[in-house]
Amino acid sequence: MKAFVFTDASLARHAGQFVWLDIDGEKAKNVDIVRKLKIAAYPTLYVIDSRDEKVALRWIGGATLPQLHKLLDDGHLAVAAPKSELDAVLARADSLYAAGADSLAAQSYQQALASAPKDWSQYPRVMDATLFSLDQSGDPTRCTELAREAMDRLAGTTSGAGAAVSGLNCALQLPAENPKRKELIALFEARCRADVKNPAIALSTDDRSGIYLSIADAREDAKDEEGRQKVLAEDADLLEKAAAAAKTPEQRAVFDAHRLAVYRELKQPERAVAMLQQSAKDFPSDYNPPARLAVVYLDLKKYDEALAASDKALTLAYGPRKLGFYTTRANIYVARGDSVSARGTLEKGIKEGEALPDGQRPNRTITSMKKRLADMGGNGGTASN
Amino acid sequence: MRGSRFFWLGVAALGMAAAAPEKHASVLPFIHDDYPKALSEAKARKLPIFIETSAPW
Repeated sequence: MKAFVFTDASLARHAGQFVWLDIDGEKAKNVDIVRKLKIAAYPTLYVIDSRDEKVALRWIGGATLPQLHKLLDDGHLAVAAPKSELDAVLARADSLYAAGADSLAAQSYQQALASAPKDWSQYPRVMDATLFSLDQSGDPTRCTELAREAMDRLAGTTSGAGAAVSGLNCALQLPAENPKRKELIALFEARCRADVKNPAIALSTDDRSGIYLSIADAREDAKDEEGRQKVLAEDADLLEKAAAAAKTPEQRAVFDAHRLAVYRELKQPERAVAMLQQSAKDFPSDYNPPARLAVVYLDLKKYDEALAASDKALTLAYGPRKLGFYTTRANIYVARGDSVSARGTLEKGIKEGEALPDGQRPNRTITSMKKRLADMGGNGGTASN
Repeated sequence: MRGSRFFWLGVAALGMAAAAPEKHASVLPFIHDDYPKALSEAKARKLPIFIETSAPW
């Protein structure tokens, strides 16, 4: 969003309506606000009522420019005093959603949707939050029912495309014995395929890439490897064209992660090398390019290059993300047959992770690293790391 | 967009997710990494706070 959305001049009309804050959730200085917001994923956008510091609205993920305009308008409504029973129900739902109480939020949002007028201006945002809550709370059946309704009601719009891909993701989670599973997957996949190539729908390139990845999941579910590869190739083509059309190095680098993920899915990691070397050159203080190069060189069995890239990434990195780089480094050592150094690397990463403050400490990652260490036989001793 | 969300969550788990590098020219007057300052200003101006949370992923 920084590279493509927040730069748009049309947003200037909102400038005096909010106080604007961006925070890097990995920085130690932001630990208090990170803990307060209970951030589940990045990016997440919030509107906070400054009178009581309560979250009035939360939006998980990036937003297109039209979506952001609408979010900002909805944000104003969310901090205003409730004028109706519907406003009050929605405020409760938004509050539960902000607190990560997904199951309760889904119930409250559905209560709001049931009582809202057909032309309710907040329907797209509320449906988006409802589908996300249902997915997170493990209710794929209800998710598919609502996604189907929203997909048709919002057809031809960004939110309609979002509903279709949510429906597809939820349909793929239905149990195999569900008699409607196959039919629902086919229904949502067909809509996703139409939407992803519809230039009239305002979708960012990474949104389109996300849709392609969900279609690829559907092809994998159908055990159609040829079809999956074809979809991933289309995704790679889309991303490469977008990167080639980027006006700045910042815009080009936005697609690095997507491209790397798709290249690895295609078992073609070598396609990422030049791109990442360019990003490393353009952004010498950014830990992402060397961290990704370490992964790519590991895939390519170029272990010396992988370790050199890992050195660079660990020198530049900070916060919870750094633990993932230790895991990559341990994987490099394992691939090289140096289990002593692998264990030492995991121990060092665990120690750094445990020293992070509550709210930024990635407990699941630490648990996973400890299990891995235990499986490898424990103490790493004095090996290189 | 849910597709992106699932993509990001999945890729983040793989330790490869990314956002744009820091250089950008926002048309909005963002305060960087300073919630107390933003809160103080918002209270004084009687405005809500818009927060973009991200990580250099």
